Amino acid sequence: MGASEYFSAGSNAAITALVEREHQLSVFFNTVADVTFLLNVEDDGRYRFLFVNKAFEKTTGLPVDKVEGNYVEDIIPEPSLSLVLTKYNEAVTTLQRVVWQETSDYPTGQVVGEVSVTPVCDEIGHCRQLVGVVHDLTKEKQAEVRQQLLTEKLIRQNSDLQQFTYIVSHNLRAPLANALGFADLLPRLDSDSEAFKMSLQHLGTSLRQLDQIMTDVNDILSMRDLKDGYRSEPVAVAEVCQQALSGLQEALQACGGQLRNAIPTALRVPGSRAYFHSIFHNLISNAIKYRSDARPLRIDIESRMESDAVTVVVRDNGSGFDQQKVSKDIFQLYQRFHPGEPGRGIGLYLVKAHVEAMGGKISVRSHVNEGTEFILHFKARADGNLSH
Amino acid sequence: METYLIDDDYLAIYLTEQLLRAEGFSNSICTFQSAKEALAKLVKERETVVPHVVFLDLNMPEMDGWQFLDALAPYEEKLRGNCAIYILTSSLALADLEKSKHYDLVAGLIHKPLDSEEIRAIQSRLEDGPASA
Repeated sequence: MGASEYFSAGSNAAITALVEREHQLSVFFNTVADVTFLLNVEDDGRYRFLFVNKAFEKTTGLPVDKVEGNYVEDIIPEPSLSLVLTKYNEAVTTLQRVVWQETSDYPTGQVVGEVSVTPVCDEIGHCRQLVGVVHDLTKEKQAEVRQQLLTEKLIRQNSDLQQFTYIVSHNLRAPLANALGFADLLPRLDSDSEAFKMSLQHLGTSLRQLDQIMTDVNDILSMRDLKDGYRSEPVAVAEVCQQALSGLQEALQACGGQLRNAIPTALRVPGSRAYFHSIFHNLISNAIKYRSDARPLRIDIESRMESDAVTVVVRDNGSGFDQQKVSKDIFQLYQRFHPGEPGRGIGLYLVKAHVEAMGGKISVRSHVNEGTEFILHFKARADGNLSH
Repeated sequence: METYLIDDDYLAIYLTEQLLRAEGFSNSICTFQSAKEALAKLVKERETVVPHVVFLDLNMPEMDGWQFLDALAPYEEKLRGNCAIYILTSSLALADLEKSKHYDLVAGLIHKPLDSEEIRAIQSRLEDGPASA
């Protein structure tokens, strides 16, 4: 066997081995789930993609053949581009592996990844290539954000419940203490006396107050239950407002008040009809209750449409309140600001709860002796007002 | 014994007044459903008739019991030894008891309802003289 034959046979085997090896590497390269790429450091300092794996295409949505052979600045958009170039330069100069976290927008959506580039040097120690790996953290990040939102929601609910328990126990104690006192007093009074008659009556009143609080608690709790279960429907707000008004028409006329409902009849806001009814009923009856003696009551109800939001405003010219003093407490359960006025301090608590159950927000503006304005914001889209 | 009753709850005022009368505590009881009104009368009459005892509710709209006490600060000198303020509250919160200790004018904190034992204890303390009140 001649030497040439030996070499030729040998080189054939070597080529087969090389092809086999290249195939193995390619399988390996493309099976790795992390985005992997090889960059050439050009003589002018620019970076050109030599290889990118299948994971690169899957994550970024950019086809492999559109990326390989192209310069980095033609593939990666700003503002990511400036960041990655700085990092590549750092790896090239320091000859160290550089790692960073990055959020990029690709055709497939936003991708959060931990990127690392490792310099590959030639025999005289110059960085010629960079090996990059991107570990996709999008799912972890999304889970983290979801987890955080859930935790915040739980903390908020927990503190709400704690507050609720505190307020209820506090408000149960007041009529209970009265009932105990009257029960203690009654046997010591002459049963024919006026004081005996009054005390017996007051004992009954105290017990009815206790019962009323239990009914309130029940209402509030059943509303909490419904919160996650109700189905959003397009509500004809103007019509519901008119219905709520008809129940209060007598009281409004008795005080010589006027109400102008300027909500367009065609307006539909996704939510619950019953909630809107309760909201208007409570706001209108509050306006009647806390009107000013100095002028006839006037209530204006209006709505504003913005691109993706509806604002409903209920404004009165009543006695108003000192906003700096009470604004943050006004929606609190059993908070009362008007001495001598009847009221249990549950109306505005329910209004806020109903608005929020429909995904809306409520705020208030008031000036003493000028009036009060409740501003309700709702999303205009159905999915926006679903309970959350 | 000049007595003030300050409570926004009409039933509570009626009850406390009857309980005090049943024990023969006082022949002069002024009742207020607003702390502001009580404050105005007290300040106006401070040179002539200072109440010996004030029963003060805490949880009231507009001006609560603490705000009433704070508003009395400028007259503390005048009132000390002459006027014993008892907080009379339905709340069982421990924080209220702690807070009440920061007010020199407050002689004690009583949980509603007031009972005969408590009334007699206050009576005997006041009869022993203002120093121990």
